[in-house]
Amino acid sequence: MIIFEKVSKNFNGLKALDELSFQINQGEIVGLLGPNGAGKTTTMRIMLGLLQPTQGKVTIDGINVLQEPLKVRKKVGYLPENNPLYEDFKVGEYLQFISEVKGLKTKTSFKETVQTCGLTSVLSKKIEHLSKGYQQRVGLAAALLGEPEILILDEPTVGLDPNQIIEIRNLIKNLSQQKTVILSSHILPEVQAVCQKLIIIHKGKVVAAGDLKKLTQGKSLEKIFQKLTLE
Amino acid sequence: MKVIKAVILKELTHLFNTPTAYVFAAVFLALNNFFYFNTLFLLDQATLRPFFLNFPLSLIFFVSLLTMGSFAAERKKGTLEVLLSLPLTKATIVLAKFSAIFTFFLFVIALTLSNVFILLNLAQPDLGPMASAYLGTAFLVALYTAVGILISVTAKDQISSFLLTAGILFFFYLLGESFVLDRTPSWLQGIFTFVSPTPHFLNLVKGLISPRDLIYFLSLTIFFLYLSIKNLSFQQDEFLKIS
Repeated sequence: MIIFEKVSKNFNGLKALDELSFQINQGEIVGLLGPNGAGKTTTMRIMLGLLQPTQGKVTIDGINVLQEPLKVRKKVGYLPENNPLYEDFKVGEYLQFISEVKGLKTKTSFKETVQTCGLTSVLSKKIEHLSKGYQQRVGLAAALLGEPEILILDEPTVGLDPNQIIEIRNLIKNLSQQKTVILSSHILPEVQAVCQKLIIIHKGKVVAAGDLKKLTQGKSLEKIFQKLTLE
Repeated sequence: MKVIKAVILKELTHLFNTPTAYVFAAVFLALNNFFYFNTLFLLDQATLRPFFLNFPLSLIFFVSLLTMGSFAAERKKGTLEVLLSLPLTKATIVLAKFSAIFTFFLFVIALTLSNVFILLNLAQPDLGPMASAYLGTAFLVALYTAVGILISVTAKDQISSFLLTAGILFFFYLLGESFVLDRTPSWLQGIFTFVSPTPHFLNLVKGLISPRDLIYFLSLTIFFLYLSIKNLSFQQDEFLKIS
């Protein structure tokens, strides 16, 4: 269970998050929605202990993220925005490095992750020579290695073509059967297609949170999003 | 231990994946050997001392070049976020980067052992000072690398990291140079000689292994690495805000 309690974050006096509070239960697929600059990436980075909140408390399964970030990072797989990768590495080399750092115990789970992400045929290829879709799969595989209980995906389909978007979406859907997934996006159809629960952030505050169906009540998500974030 | 080994290997893979490392090694060896062999036959002495005398200056350029990207490039590409999101301590990240660059230099410097074999074929050189000079080179590289890494953590981009590292190291190099010391009041000479790495290195090149010089190199290297670790934690917010 992920709990944000009145979390605020300031960057040089600028308020990125303003007393953000929400709760994500185990096994949920949650869409973190918001316009650009709403605070989605900051929220995810705080969740991982990459950024320290100015105020408030974040716990993951009872572990205080600020006090024990390494414990948290062992539980979490993270795909950062724009999917930065060591492009001069071969896919196999890169994933091997990630699995060693995450302390992967068996070769089976490495193989399974590679298969799940459809990377078996490109293991010996350099990352820089792969298409954007395949690079995204490499990023996802890196996040998945070590069998994390929680997956945090920051705009996982940005820059992909429609076919690649569908591929990655299906991959996330399959993964979400066993894990808690938090997915940030401002692409509304994507969130609708994948998530059960929504947290809408605007100007660093939660403006709506809850079950996707209950929030929309048959109305268009686009209109609700506009109403909440157009000020 | 397994984790730090994985990060060191990743850093070494990255170094050897780029042509820069090979060009670097070739230029380093060519330049230093050129200056050495130019004087070797004129001196008519079976010694490597002139070879090592170039190191305090030439290593400034080469270490600055190799350390400038250690953090600044990762920050620009965004891969630093990937690294920081893994279950790694800041100390592991800094020490792994340091160890990889240090190992690379040891590898390049090991290639100069061919000069020892050349001298052994030509005459009967004293091997003691040579061993001590190689030890001194390792200490000098370690210190320069630690400074370079600290600057790379702090600097905004690779170019400023290179210029700052080279500038700072060159300043401390100058403090130990005779033309500066000759024009310095005697009470300052002692301080300059202690602060600059060059006199400590030259003692080792002469074959004088004293605890004072070893403590100088070790303590400063550890100190700069410690500062790098602290700075990495301190600047994390800034990194992620930029990336």
